[in-house]
Amino acid sequence: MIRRTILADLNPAPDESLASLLQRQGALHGCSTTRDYLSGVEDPRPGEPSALLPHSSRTCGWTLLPQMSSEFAGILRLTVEQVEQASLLPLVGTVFAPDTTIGNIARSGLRVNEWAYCAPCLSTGWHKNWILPTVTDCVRHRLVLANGCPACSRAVTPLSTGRTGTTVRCACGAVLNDVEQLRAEDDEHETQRMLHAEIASNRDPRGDDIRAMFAFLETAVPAMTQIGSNTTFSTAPDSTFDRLYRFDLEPQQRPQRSAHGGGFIDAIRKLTPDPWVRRVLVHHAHLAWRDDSHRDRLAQIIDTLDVRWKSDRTSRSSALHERFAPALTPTNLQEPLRQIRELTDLPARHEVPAVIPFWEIDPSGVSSRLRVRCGNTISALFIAASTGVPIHEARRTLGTPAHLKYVVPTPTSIDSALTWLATNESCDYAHRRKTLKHLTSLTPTDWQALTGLAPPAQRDDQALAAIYWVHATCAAPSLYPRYHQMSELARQRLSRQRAERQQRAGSNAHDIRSAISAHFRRAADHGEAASSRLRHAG
Amino acid sequence: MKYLDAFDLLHAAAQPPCPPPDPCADDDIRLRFLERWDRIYAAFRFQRFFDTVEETVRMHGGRSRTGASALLVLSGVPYTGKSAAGYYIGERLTRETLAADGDTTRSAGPETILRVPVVRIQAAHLDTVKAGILTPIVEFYGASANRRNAAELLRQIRILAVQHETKLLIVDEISQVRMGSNSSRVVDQIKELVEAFPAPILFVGNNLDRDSIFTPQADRADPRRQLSERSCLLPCNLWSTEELQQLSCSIEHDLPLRNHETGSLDYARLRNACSSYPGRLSDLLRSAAHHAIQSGTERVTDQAIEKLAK
Repeated sequence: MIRRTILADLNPAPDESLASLLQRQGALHGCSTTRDYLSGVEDPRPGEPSALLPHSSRTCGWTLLPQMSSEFAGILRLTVEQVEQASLLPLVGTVFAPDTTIGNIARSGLRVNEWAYCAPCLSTGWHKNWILPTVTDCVRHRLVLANGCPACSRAVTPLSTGRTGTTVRCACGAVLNDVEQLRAEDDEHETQRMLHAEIASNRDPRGDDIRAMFAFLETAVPAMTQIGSNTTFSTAPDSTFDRLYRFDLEPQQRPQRSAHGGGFIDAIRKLTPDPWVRRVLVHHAHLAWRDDSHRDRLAQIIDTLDVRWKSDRTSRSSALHERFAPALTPTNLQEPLRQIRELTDLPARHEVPAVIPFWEIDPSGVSSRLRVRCGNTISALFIAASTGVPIHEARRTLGTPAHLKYVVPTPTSIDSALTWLATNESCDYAHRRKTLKHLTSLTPTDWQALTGLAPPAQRDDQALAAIYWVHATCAAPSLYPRYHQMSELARQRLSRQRAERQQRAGSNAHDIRSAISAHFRRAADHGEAASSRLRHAG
Repeated sequence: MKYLDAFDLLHAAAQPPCPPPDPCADDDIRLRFLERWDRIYAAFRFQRFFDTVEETVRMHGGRSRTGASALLVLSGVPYTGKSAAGYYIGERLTRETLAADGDTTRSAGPETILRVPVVRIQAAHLDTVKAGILTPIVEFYGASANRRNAAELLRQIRILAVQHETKLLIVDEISQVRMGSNSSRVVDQIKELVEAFPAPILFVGNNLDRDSIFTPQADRADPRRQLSERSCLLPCNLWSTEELQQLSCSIEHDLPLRNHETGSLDYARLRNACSSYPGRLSDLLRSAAHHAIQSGTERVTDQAIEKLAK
């Protein structure tokens, strides 16, 4: 018979896992590890090999066969309903599709052999959400989940660790309750909070809610692996990265990061230290919970990255493309670009990013790198700096990530915006400077011709350049609702000016091209003069 | 009166023995009381033993300066009430501890753990300490002890004892652990138990003062010498007539008979009838009372006892 435990009650928590219950039961029995305890549990059917141990050691921590519920209930002295609540069966219908079988759950990339954990929560038990690859934070303590033993860096699971009272120890003897963890950042915390709420809500996943989220997270990470080496993204030192990982400390003293392959935030962070890429991905996953348009956009990303949704891709994609293709296809953005190119002689390399909307994540390194350089965050900053529009307005109209509301100050000048970008965003600072230099030659007349608005009261070449930056990165249509009217107006004015120029025949005093080339010439002269001065000084 | 596990001991401690029925009650009630006789009489001769055990439990948590548990050995000839005294002190300590603290449970994390102040096991008639003593201790707590070696069992016992706040371990029938060819190993394992268990240990057994694990041999290097020097031997000899009279009066006082007068028996004849064995005395008195109720005499006489004793 199965030995009863008559002297203690487990009092299971609502989100506690079955493996945690077994571990606490093992601790009540005085066993050093859960595996030790399970090996001592007698088989209820004498003469037959124990069915409980091989099943439990591999799988009972996270899932449960229906016929095993009563046996676990027997040795845990709980009801069958309590045991099933502690397993992952309740998540079938929320996290997993309603028609999911146990075998499908087993193959769905859970952290079976490598649990993540929150050290303060360990005193009460192992939460069953920690086995899900997309759960990276403890929402209660707002800490990034650790994994592995800090001393021996081996993977830990409830079955391999031991418990004495509230203390959980690795097999090597290290106490896991004292592991230092990082505080979760705002966007991570917000996303994880919503994720936990969604998991707990028992919502039917057949819509685009949580399955879309999970599918996105599962597909975005492999896509990001194809981007390339992380050093290609940034030349500026990323102080944030160093601060997070604390490479100045000894390995044993470093904060524990989640190193599991399924961890979304960390996978991206490992691939690229660029917080911008991370924020875009996280933010889109975040927004997908809130409204339908973002959710559909996210679904479009999923379709773009499609790995596992091939079966119903046709129907999904056709419906989504009908709705979004007019706004997102590059052909719609060619016309304003052509005008800008005509006006400014933009270098050819700026044409490519302009026609790639940043949300179309292409698994090629080229487009992703360009996407980083031409993001909407930069646009928002430059717009705010040059026009005085508060950053949250720009954010709203641009669709910039919501977390920028908290972390991005409204810059008072282009320099402050550049400084902020250089310190907080890992885009290529030198590249931005160089591009800006090319764009600083617009006169108020040209500005007015392009936008149809009066030029700023204070003459500022850099502000104008910022406007052109926006146009070059295709942010204008979303920034200005009247963009198409304005561009039409500008086209009329340009055609009028061309007609006038042709009438004057030879007089190119007002030719924009010559003005710009003169400006560059002046700048080059200025640079040469400066360098010659330096040479003389040397 | 054999406890299976801690639950039974706690249950017994929570429910004191029911009072004897009124002599005027129906025969069925009185006969049922005699059949389910659950009285334990704390005779005066065990008072020193009780005092010693309680003092050991209270003083220093029962640990010596070296960390080993205090050892008490209650030894004597068979049928002198040693086991009954062990039961009695176990129940009394359990009841007093739980009543004094007012809380029968403690919480360690999310769990609610029942407190077990006294562990009482009966050593099995087996060759090894692991099967004979350690496994019964683990099973007394209701824990699983399968497929484990002695070192793991000792560690498990220590955890369980701390977890359940155990204050005394009573090992009854320790003389059943054979001293065969592996005597030194048995003694070593008992020494390990003494050092691992965080509370005093009371060994109860027959004739432990000769040829047992507590009997030092001529060889000074014998490990039994260490055990015997650490332990406090409490001898338990045959009962004298006065002691048996005290016990008999206590039992007679509780017999539900209408015409019986306590102290009316001839105790010299009673001692001969029960051969100075208090357990036999209790059985004789109960049987005689049973016959007295059935025959309608409602009185225990010397002749009836001698007739039953033959």
